[in-house]
Amino acid sequence: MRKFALPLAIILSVAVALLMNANDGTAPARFESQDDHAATHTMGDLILRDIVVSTGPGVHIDPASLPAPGAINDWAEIRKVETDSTDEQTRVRITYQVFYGVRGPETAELPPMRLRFEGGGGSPDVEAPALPVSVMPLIPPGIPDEKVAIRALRPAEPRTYSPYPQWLALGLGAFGAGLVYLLWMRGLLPPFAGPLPFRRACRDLQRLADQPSRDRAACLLLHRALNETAGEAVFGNRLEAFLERHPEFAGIREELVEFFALSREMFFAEAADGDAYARCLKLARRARRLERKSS
Amino acid sequence: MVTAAKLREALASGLLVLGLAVAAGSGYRLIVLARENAAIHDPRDVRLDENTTPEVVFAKAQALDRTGDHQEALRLYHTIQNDPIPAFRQRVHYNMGTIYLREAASLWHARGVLEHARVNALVEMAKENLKEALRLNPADQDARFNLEYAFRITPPPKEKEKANWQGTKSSVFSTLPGIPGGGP
Repeated sequence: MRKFALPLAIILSVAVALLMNANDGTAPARFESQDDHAATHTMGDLILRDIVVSTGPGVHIDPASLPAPGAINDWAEIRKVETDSTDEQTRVRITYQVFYGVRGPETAELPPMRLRFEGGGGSPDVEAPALPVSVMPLIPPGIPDEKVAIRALRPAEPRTYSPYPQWLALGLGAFGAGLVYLLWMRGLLPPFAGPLPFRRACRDLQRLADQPSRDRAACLLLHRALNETAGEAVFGNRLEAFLERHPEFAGIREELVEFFALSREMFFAEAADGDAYARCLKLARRARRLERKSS
Repeated sequence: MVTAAKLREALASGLLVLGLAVAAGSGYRLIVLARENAAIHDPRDVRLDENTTPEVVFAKAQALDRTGDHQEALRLYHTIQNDPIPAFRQRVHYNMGTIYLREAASLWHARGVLEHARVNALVEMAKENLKEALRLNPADQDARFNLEYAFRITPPPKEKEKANWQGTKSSVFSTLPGIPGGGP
């Protein structure tokens, strides 16, 4: 029996030492501090109470021990409870709201709080002490109750128009821009049409409507518009080259051929065609439409 | 080139239609808002239904309160006290609490303890509504002031009535007649 006594004592002492080391690793949770509220509060004030508890690693607060939002007595309510934990400490922030009606300065106490911590081999509960709070009245103490004027009702507030005026402006802007562009494309916006040769030819041709000898002038105007468009003089034999560079006028190829034939007869054969003005005007209008689309 | 022109024309047409739709929608909303604001400005002839916006109901309740119909005003405020917008809800609770408080104060100053029960009930309703207004907006100074006043005019508790207890036990002590004026 004695020969086992020494090894047993050694084993026991080692085990005790190990257990002691294990306990050293976890310090128990310990109340450290809380905010003091020297400031005076009035009805409806929010009071922030920060409770700091020092803890060891692995020690955490039991959420069930935290107070729940709601009334805690007849003059204070808990509005919010937040926790912030690190390895070394846990901070519990409680937001109270004061509903204490007083006629003169008074002091009351927010009740003490017991917080439970878990982990790390178990920690005792931590009690945060009561917190004294000073409360002042809003209504001056000397005024009799019947002389106090109750604050007035809130008026109805007109509804704000925002953001609809902005949306309306945006919509009208987009509508206007689209409309202007479409009109411009169709040549229905003369002030913005720009110096387009066939547009100007149409306008000049219309001015000739009442002139007695207008056929030659009409042909000249149309020639000038073609030359301006091409950037050079366009003759009948170079019409195809012109149409290759300006395919937008391909749709009036036949009318152009006829126009050159008409022009040749009028200027070189001295033939009179009473219908020349009307044909020139018609051709100019078609050319103007094509010119708009391609511009 | 013609294809590009067609594309531009299609884009312009789309822009025109989209702009027209946006302008029409916004214009309609502006007309509705203008009508609602006219009703808020002068709610006397407004007929309420389930589609009436809460702010118009609020204005109607206030107009009723001004004409002395406090009960109908409170009934209307009750219908909008659960509005999802906290700032609006806060104003509703403030007004309800203030109407209850005003009623309680006038009754308390006029009749005193003779109307103890009614004053107490009105003050409690005022407190609940003003507290809710302060929960929603703790910075509301008017709600703070009125709530403090509600505490000031809270009637003191009445004396507890004597228990009119009648025993049913067949104990001799419970059936012994008392000695008038107290026994030695």
